[in-house]
Amino acid sequence: MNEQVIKINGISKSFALDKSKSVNILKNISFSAYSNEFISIVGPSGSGKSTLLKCISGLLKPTKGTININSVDPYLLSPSKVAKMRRTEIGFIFQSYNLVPALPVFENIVLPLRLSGKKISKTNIEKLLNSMNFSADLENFVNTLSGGERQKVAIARVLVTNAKIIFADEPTGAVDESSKRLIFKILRKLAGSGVCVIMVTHDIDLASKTDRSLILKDGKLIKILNRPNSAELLEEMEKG
Amino acid sequence: MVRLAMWQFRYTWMSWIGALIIFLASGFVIGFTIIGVDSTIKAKLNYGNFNPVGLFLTPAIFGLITLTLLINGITRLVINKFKNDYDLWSLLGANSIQLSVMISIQMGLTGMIGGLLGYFMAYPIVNIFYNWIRTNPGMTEFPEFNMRLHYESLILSVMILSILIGITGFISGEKVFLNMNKRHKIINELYLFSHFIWTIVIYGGLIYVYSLFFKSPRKIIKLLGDQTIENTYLQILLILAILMIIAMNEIERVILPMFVKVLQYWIPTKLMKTFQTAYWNVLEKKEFLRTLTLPSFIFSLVSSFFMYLAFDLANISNKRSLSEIFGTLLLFLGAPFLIILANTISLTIISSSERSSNISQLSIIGFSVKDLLFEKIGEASIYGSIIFIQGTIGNALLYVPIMQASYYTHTQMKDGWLSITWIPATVGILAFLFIFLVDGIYVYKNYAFKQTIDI
Repeated sequence: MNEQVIKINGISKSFALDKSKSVNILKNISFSAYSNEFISIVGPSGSGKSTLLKCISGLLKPTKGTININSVDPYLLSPSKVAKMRRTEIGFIFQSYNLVPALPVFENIVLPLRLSGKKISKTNIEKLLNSMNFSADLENFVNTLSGGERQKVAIARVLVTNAKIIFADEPTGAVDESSKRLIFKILRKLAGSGVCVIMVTHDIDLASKTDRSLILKDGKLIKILNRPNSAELLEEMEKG
Repeated sequence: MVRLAMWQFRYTWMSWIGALIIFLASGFVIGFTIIGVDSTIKAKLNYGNFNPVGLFLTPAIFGLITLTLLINGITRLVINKFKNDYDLWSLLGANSIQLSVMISIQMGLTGMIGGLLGYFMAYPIVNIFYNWIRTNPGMTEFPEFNMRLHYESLILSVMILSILIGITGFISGEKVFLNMNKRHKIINELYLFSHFIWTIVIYGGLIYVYSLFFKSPRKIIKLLGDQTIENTYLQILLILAILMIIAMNEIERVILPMFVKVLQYWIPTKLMKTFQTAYWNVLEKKEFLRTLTLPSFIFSLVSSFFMYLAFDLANISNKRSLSEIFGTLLLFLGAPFLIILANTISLTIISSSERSSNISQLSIIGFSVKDLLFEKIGEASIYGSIIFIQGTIGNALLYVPIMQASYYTHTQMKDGWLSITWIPATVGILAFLFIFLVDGIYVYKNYAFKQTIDI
């Protein structure tokens, strides 16, 4: 049976414009996510998708509501425990890759392991990268790689930690078509092996291949579709 | 962590050149001391009333205390410069200790280079200084000997500086990274409460000590125990100066933006069309403003304090030659002055690219290189003016008690009210020149020869 790994209860997020005015980005959103599940968050630009992902991943504290990751509220943890959670339980994949420019490919991938003081096997990393059709040299600096290759490095960095929850913000947004297919395939495979993947995407075609789609509009969760298809997704997004 | 820090250092080494200036000045001061002490010991002259070791140790003690106080500002600016990098490290699971270790190793390495270069630069100066000091009356009894370079003293010099910088860098890094991570609500409230109590104690203490100068000397002597009136005033003046520095540190974040806003009305802004841009740029970079003005304030206050002490209260100028007074002041204030000066250059270099980050936008909307340079003149004049105003206010507050002490100790004040402006004006002008020079070079180098803009 799939285990509940994330529980979101009535979260809202507003930003203050000045002392008297504020803008509501997220409005009373609740849902749960389970292991072995691939969830997509879709919606028009400015609907609050990325803000929602940041809130549920512990990067941005919501104004109201609670978030539990593996039964723990990340916003109540001490900074050192948050750091440990980021190293061991959750992984992030961003459209902008978020690779450390100072480090070469290999060091970028093993960074979470080094920070945790874990053993590093170069052979395992090479095998992992081969399985992802990564062709560049491990000693290259990340700034010399193409968008697709950089995203593979970012994904490999998440994979080596064996994180059970992965947050992905437009992971295929800045890569070519073949890299996009490969990256989605990897995420799909991860979800099949027990990981919970939550992905923000603009791509209706990709969202239709996930297990569940959360449709956001104007900061509200307007619909949750199980086993969505493209037509349904488009219809719901237009209906709003 | 060492490995990761080395990679990060390799990537960011250009940015450490800014910090190298202050570390080089510190290396110079330590090298000066170590070469002097080591040469004295090797010549077996470290004994008796005219033991030169004490003479060489003084600059290092004052210099290192100054360096320790200033490192926090440098660390903060370096971390701010690479804020995106460190946010990313934090996102990937690095905790505040790991990040502080990384900063500490990089600072230690830069300190090592500064120590090495400073040691060799100090060698000719320590020779000249010692030979000159021996020509002063009262110092002629100091033994004659030659300074020597030695690998042991070189290693010691480099080690002392890099370890000191590494440790203080770690402590300040930990402070910055802990602040970047949000503290627990209860810890935060405790911190705010203890800070509030501390502020009350400091300002209460300052008002109380200040009020002592308006009481009869007999009451003050009674309060501090059986001492001479001169010693009593010297002690409370020292306490007053320390309290003023701490109080200024507490209030800087609040008053500096106020000063900048007041300056907007004071400076004839219509004469310079880019002044408004400069004004907002200074207001936006509050951290640089604070890191720059606080050491300048401390230096103005401490120098003026020593000046009033030497020329007015202790009346030393009547008893000793000018070169002797200069030598003594150089011994005590030379190292802090050098390090504070280097600090200003370091801070300006480190933060120059950040402070000029909007230049490309300004170029797009039609600022010419001349406009950009005038904008930088505007910024530099605001920084210089703030240093002048702040230092003058501090000196004015110090001057009144000095006058009171002079009255009660029956000494004649030689320095008038105008003297409160001398040192702040000098420091302000120097700061203006350094900031304009560094930022001007940055603008000229990056935009003068470019036809297109990198966005």
